[in-house]
Amino acid sequence: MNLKFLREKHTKKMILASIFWFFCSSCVSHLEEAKSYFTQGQKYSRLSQSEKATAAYKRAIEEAERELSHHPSSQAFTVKGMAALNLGLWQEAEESFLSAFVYGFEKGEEWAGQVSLLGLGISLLETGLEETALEVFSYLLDKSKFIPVLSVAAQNFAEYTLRTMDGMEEKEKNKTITRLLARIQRLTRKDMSFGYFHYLQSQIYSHLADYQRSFEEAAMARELGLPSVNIFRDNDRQIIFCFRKLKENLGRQKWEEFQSLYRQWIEKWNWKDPETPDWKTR
Amino acid sequence: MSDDLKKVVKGGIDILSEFFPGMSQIYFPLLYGFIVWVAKRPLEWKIKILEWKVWIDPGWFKEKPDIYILNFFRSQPALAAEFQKELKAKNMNALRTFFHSLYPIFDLEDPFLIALFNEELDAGDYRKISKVFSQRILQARRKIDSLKNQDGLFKRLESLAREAGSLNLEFLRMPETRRAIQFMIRQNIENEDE
Repeated sequence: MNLKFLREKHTKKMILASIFWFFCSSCVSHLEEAKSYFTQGQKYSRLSQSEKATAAYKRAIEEAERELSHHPSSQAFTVKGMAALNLGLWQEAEESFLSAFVYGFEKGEEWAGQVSLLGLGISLLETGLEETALEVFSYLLDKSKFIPVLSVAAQNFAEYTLRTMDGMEEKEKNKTITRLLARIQRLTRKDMSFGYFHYLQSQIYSHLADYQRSFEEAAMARELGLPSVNIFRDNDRQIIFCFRKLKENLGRQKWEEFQSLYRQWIEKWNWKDPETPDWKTR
Repeated sequence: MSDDLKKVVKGGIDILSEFFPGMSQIYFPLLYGFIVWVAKRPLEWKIKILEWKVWIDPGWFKEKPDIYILNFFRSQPALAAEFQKELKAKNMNALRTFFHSLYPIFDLEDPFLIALFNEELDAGDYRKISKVFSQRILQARRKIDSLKNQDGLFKRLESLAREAGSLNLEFLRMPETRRAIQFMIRQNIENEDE
């Protein structure tokens, strides 16, 4: 009886101790929580679940602020700025990224320094300081070795370049787009398997009215994977757009060749017909 | 330091007595072991947390050629009818502005935006969507509460661990400290009993 009692008591002790120990392995700081909520927000954003994403980004800001009130650090400011960016709070984002630079980045925090610079560029762009922002993106495109930094810098750099071509002569426009394309192609060579770079190329080929290449890059991007539902769908829309334009522009024989290839792709992708992707509901 | 320690011990007792009442004989070994273990961890945690890289996500590419925008409006009968005038005049400035708010709804089928502009979509008031687009999104974001955490044992243990993590390990290992913790635990239990 006594032995049984002792064994039960020992078991209870072990259970309690396990709870404490198990818990300790996952103990967190506010910075970790901020990062965790930010990552959750991104996960929801990528799936177009905007309400959940907003709630998570707000929580990330709260946690980053708690961290900052006890242990101010460049990383806490960076995460706060990133969450603010995703909520469209440009001013708050800009202030946070600037504060991150004031605190400075330690050795091994190069990624955080570049993310802050990128975030600062985006907030500058949104608040109207476009040329300064462009310099930031251009610098990162030349210097960064981080693919996630390069992809956002490339998107913003390309969008700004194309947006500011109004008033240019056709020849000048084509030159500018070709230069832009070459810059994005250099990125693709850094990581051939990164779908987003192919997606960007597809978008830029479309500005050159090269729909064959645009289609090829979009198909490649789809095969390699894209970072969010919205980008994925936009890429599918580009594929459909290329299909329509090639139908209008290609000669009979080339069109038949293309159509045969296109049919194989959409069969693989489970599309209902050449202009109805599998996800289309409306 | 001793205030921090008192806080941790008090917090630990509160949790243990609430979740595991009547087992006060095990509070000292458990709590002491826990505090020492946690005090050893902060450096490792800090490195782990600081090494966790987070990135900004790219978005869909918004700068489309004019022909893409024209194609978008022409291929949607409702939009083609509504923006007939702009399409005829090839008023790209106006069409581009409408495109930025309507394309994510019509072609990307963004569920959040469809729900947010449901009324205007039903009424076919596409121009209004464009007019109130940014403002409505901002308002909707403001209304959404931040994500809540579930309170309970683990949450409370977590904040206790954070406090314990700030204690000095050498200090905790001193026999006097051990005795003091034991005394504090006893005192806390007695106070609760009274």
